[in-house]
This record gives sequence, C-alpha cells and structure tokens, in this order.
Amino acid sequence: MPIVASVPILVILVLMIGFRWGAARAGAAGYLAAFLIAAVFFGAGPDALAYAHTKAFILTLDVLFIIWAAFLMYRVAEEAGAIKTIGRLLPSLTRDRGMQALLIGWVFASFLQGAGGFGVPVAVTAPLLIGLGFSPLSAVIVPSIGHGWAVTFGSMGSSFNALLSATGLSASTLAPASALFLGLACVLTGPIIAHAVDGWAGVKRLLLPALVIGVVMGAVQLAVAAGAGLWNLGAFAGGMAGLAVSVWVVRWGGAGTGVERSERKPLLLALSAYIILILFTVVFLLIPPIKNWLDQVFIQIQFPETVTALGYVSPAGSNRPIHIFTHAGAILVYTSLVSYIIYHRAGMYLPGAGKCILRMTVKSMMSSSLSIALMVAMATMMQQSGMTEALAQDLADAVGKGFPLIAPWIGGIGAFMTGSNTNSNVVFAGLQKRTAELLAYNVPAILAGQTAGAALASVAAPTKIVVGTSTAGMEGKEGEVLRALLGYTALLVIFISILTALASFVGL
Amino acid sequence: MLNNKFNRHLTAFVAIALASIFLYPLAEAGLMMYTWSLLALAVMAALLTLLTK
Repeated sequence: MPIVASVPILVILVLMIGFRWGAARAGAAGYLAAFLIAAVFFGAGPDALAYAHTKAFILTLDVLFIIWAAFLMYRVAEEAGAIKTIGRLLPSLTRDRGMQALLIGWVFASFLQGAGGFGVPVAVTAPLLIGLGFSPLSAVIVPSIGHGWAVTFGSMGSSFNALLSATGLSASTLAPASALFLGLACVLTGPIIAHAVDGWAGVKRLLLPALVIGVVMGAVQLAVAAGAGLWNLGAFAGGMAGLAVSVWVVRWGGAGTGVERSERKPLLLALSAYIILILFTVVFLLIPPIKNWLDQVFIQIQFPETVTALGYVSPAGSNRPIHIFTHAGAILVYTSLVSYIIYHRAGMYLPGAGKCILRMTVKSMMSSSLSIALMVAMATMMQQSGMTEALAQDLADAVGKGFPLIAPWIGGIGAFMTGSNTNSNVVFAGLQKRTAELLAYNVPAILAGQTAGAALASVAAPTKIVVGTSTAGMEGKEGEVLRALLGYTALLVIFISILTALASFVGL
Repeated sequence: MLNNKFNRHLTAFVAIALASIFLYPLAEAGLMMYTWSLLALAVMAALLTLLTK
C-alpha cells in the first residue's frame, strides 16, 4: 500500500523534473492519480472525497489570498517605479564590489522576497548586478542564494501560512523553531555570498559586516515572526532591518558614499507603501479592540467524521478559521489601495496604470493559483483517504531514528520539484507531521526542518532558475547556474538537517 | 476560447472552486448521485489542465 500511496507524489516529481512539465499540469496529473488511488485502492467513498475537496478549497483560499494580495501590492509599487528607485540608490552607498553584492544580492533581494517574492528578487537584482559589472552567472546565483532564508516568511508569510493550514497547528507553535532555523541560515548566507563573489579572500574581508547584517536580519525575523506573532511580516521586517543596518555598516566600514539629499524624498516616497504596510499590520493585528471587532467575520466549517472502505477514520473537526478582515491578504489589499492613492497623487503613474496593475496580477497569478488548488486537493485527498498515514508509517519504519536528518531533504526535494516552498509545505507537511508523531519526535522542530529545507532548496528549482537566466541574458545556460547553485544549496540544507537533529535529539 | 492557456486555467480553476463549494452541502444531504457529478466536474477540470492545445 505505501508504494501505491506514493504514486501521486512520484507522478509530480517525474513529470516536473524528468519531463519538465509546469506545476499546473503536473499538479493536475498528481491530483488525478490521488483521486483514482484514493477511490480504488484506499476505499474512499464520495463523502470522503467531497469533504476533502471542500477542505482543500478553504485551504487554497487561505493561501491564495496572501499570494494574490502580495503580488497586487508588488505591482502597485513596481508600476510607480518604487522598486527601481530603491534598487538604483542602493549601489551608490558603497564602491566595494563585495559589499555591493551583499547589499543588492542578499539584503535587497531578501527585502524583495519579504515584500513580494514570486521570482521577483532574482528578476529585479540580477540586471542591477550585471549593470555594476558582475558576471551574468554571479548576478544570478548571488540573489538566488541571498533570498532563500527569507522565502518561508516572505511573500507576506504565504509559505508559512500553508504550513499552518496543512498541519492545523498554530503560529505560536510553529514560528519559533522555523524562524530560528532560517535566521541561523541567514547568518550563514552572508559569508556564502562573499565566497560566491570573491572566494575565500572575500569571506575573510567581508566576514564581519556579513555577520553583523546576517545576525540583525535573522534576529529581527525571529523577533517579529515568533516574538511579536506577526509571522506575515517576518522576512519583510528582517529585510527592512537589513537595509537600515547595511547603511550603518558601510559608513562604519569607511566604504560608504551616502545617499544625496536630493534623493531622500524619492526614496521616502518609494518606501511609503512598505511603511504603510507596517502601520496597518500594527494597527489591525496588535490593537486588541480593532482586531477583535474585525475578527468577528470568519470562515470556519465543521466537517464530520468519514470512514473509508478499508476502515481508515478521518476524525470530525473544523478548519483553521480564516478571519477575512484581519487576514494577512486583507492587510495587503488595504495597503495596496492606500499606496496606489499616494503614488497616484504624487504623479508616479502613467495613464492606465490601475488597469495594467489589475490585468498583470490576474494574468500572472492564474497558473500558480491553479497549481496550488490542484496540489492542495491532492494532498487533502491523500490525508482524508489514509494514503498519507500509510506513507508516514512506511517512512517511519524505513528511516527510524534518522528521520530528523531526512526531514529537511524531503521539504527540499518538494520545493526543488515544484519550485515553491508553499507547494512543498502543502504536499509534505501533513506527512512530516504524522511521521514525527509516530516516531515521537518534536513536531515543531521537524516542521521547521521541512519548511526551512524547502525555502533554501526552492532557489535551485529549475522553474526559478529560468526566471534568473532569462533576466540575465543566460537563456539556455540553466545547467551551468544549477551546477553553481547546488553546492551552496546543499550546504545550507545540510546545516538545517543538523539543526533539526539537534532540536530533536538534544532539544534546542 | 479554450485554445488559450490562460482561459483553460481560468475555466479549470473556476470549475474546481464551484465543485468544491457545492460538494459540502451535497455530501451533508447524502445526495450521492449529485456528489459524484460534481466530483466528475473537478476531474474534468484537472483533465482540462493537462491539455496543451
């Protein structure tokens, strides 16, 4: 049975890696395989399949609300030229090439991941780095490695939200370990970028500033996501703090040239959308009377118990409530509307920009929305029919005590094959959680390994590499980029494996 | 209309969304014939996603 249960996942893996299918088509094939196997081999009746679909749709809405709204906000800022302004002013802070790589390929790329994601960090920063004289290969691999640590809590926390929805666990349970693992990976990322640009000489020269920036970004993400409970702002706040501390670091190191006074107003205007986002998040999520009043409207459905023909019982229960007006997606929508008005009044839009923003958002998001809907439906059917349980039992028997070392690689493979930390969490988080429970391991630590491994490996996914190569004029050289990325990515995932094992065996 | 990839994906997404929404009340009411029909709609949407032309 476990072999049959693994077929939907294998179908996606083989079609995406072996046959280079897109996520939507491969997701559809995986969905069909799961549907067939659940009904024929695991005895799932129409009731179990029906409830699985409704559960999947609610989970999909929860995930897509953030993804759509985050992309809308990114388009609002991009169409106004705000991203270009920030990207143009950053290199002027320092003439040191290594520091420029850290500032643009790591700090700015992480900030972009926190605010938007969706391949934007590499697409925006690779041309900037080439313009500064970096080789196209360096221009692609530096931001690719640079933003990996920010993926889970980036895109306004969409991947972390998928982890919450797929496992039914609370943010306060999962955020501390996840943010800690990724924060430590952030500290390691700085020296890795220095190595990628200038070899060991670069590591030696830039170690101190890289450590200072890395510790600040990682600590701020941990404090915001786990301490303050604002997991949707974790990577964004880390990126913002990174931008602020970088200015201080380059001045302190004597390599700074500063931003001219005439440039300060455009920079402030460019950053206004992000300042509003922080304000709205604080107002809507941290002021109890406002939050409680808005939280009255939510979607939560009670699902009955279902039993398959093989006797697998899926217990009765309800989904994690979706609070419509305080959802991270809703806050992004409010921010997008106010930012649009500000940029519009400042004359930063060309005629027809509003329509263009909406059209681009719908067009860009449709394919990924469908792939998420199909993969979520596949994962939910697998859970409802007992396929996930069968796989987890088999995995627990096969790897036993070594599971904490394996868990991040499962997440990593999921992200590598789907090109997405979110998709990996949707497909594998339930399996990882159940296997950890069967082996009596610390569930938050294993799930932190899942999402951190997925985040760091997602940057090497072929679908993401194509975005980088196409913006850097390296079309057809994806293999070269993959080879350059694999060593660094593997190093980071090994690091996460060690952390997961330490947290599971020793307690961290 | 379905020659266009965007339209195919939009149609498939809407079909899956509608099927998923209405499956809950149908399953609650025990209307298994209608439940199977909507499950078939979701499967058709997945098959539509597989098409390349």
